[in-house]
Amino acid sequence: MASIIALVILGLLWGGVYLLMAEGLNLIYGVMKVVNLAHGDLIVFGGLLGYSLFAHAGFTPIAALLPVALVLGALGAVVQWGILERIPLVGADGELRTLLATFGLSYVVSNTSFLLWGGQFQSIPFLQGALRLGPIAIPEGLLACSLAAFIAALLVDFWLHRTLAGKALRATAQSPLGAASCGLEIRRIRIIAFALGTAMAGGAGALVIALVPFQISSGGDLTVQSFTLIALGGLGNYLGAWIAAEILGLAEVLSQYYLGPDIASAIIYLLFIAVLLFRPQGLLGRLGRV
Amino acid sequence: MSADALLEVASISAGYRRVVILRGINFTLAPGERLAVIGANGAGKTTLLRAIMGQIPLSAGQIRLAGEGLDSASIAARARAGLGYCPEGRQLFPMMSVAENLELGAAGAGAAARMRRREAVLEIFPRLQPLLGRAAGLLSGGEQQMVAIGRALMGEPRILLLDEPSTGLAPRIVHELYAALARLSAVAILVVEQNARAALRFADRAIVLADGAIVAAAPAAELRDDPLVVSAYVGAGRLAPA
Ligand SMILES: Nc1ncnc2c1ncn2[C@@H]1O[C@H](COP(=O)(O)OP(=O)(O)O)[C@@H](O)[C@H]1O
Ligand SMILES: [Mg+2]
Repeated sequence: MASIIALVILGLLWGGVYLLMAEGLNLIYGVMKVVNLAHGDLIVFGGLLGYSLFAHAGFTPIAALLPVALVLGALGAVVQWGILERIPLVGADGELRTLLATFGLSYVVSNTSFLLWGGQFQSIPFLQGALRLGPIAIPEGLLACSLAAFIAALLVDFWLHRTLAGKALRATAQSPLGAASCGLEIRRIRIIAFALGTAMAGGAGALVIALVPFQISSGGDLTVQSFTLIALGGLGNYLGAWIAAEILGLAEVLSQYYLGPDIASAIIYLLFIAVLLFRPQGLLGRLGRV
Repeated sequence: MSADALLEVASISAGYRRVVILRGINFTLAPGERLAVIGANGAGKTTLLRAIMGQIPLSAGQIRLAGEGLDSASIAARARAGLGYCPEGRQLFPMMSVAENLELGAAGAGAAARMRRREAVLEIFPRLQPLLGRAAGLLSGGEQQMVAIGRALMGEPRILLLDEPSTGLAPRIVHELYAALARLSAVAILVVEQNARAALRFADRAIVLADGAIVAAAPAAELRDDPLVVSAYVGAGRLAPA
């Protein structure tokens, strides 16, 4: 019994990290209908930047979260303003064009990472101990990173739903023409949305690198993982992503314990395929969209 | 053109890609005036509003608001300059509440101004009062249209541009909507409608659009009393008593 409770807690904690990983992707899709194939590479870039902050300035992953998010946010703003905004989205092949652009971006980001950090696996030793609640042991590093991820995701959620600027961003997701008719400059809002999305990716990377070591080629896996989450939750669906993140965290931890790591990594993709087959609109359908 | 015109549409042509839809459209709108643009489906009414709002570029001519050329101003800049646009399909924020939809209509104003304007909108559309917390996408067509107009009014526009506000609404609701619009003072209204009967009863002046060109322009009352002119361009039966 105690071991099951411990596993559930572990799963829920991983859910927090997953949520932050996928949420930026969700936001960018929700507002701009751009599927960002560079997402995983941005997570890796953020993680390696966090690694440098640790190696050269002694930053913990939690302390690195904000500076890394700021740098990635600024990068995202430049990419949106300089590249994506200039690609016409509408028209028959609009989606293909943005896919190609973000695919290209993923190469640029991962090769930049390679130039800056090389190809080795990197990780950050962080809070190696475990918190003991009777027979249950919770790794302190995971607990701290998960809480930080939850808080970051909650803050973004609060901003999106409770501030006028956040509402303007959601309004642009729901009707760009309606938002423009309200006097909102949707170009600027799209830049903010993309910057926020990449900042969340970078922040997530700064945390994840303390939990699982990664190297530049981890980006592709992370992109697929983020997409799985979002397919589960429904593209552009905020509430759905939250629930999906928890389900995935639980599924992964439980299957890893009971079925072994090889099968566990397949479980995610099986879930992904099952969702696409039986519930392509995501768990919640239209409910809870950005 | 007249010096006191609020909006001047001067010989504009516009369309999509290489298809020209509007050809040499000319008219003005005075402060507080109500102008109806009527025409059959496909005549170019929506395209005209898109051109005025800068959703599509002009291939010729110019549009001036209070004497200032709008040229390449963005949709949002035109909205902030005083054009309150209720586009085709209403373009509400369906997952957000009525209160939030209205709030966003005055995104550029301070909190106190927003509250004051919201009170004014609720006075015009009292039906919205109990619906403030409801998601806009869950409202009836008439209620949604009221939110769309209310949201545009929240920006305190000088001109309301309405694209077929009566589409899909029961005659009783159309009547209620136009009665509310008739009570608005201090804002000029340009309404495009296939529903010529409702629009002509409401407007001071009317323009008949056919195939992207103006084929008649007259006081609304004249067109109202001359069903032949209207039925020829807008389609028979449009003026038949409801
Ligand atoms: N996005 C578009 N692309 C190309 N042609 C369009 C587009 N929208 C409308 N049209 C064409 O422009 C003409 C006028 O359409 P519209 O302005 O919507 O008419 P109305 O609003 O009077 O019904 C029609 O022939 C229509 O097919
Ligand atoms: Mg139309």
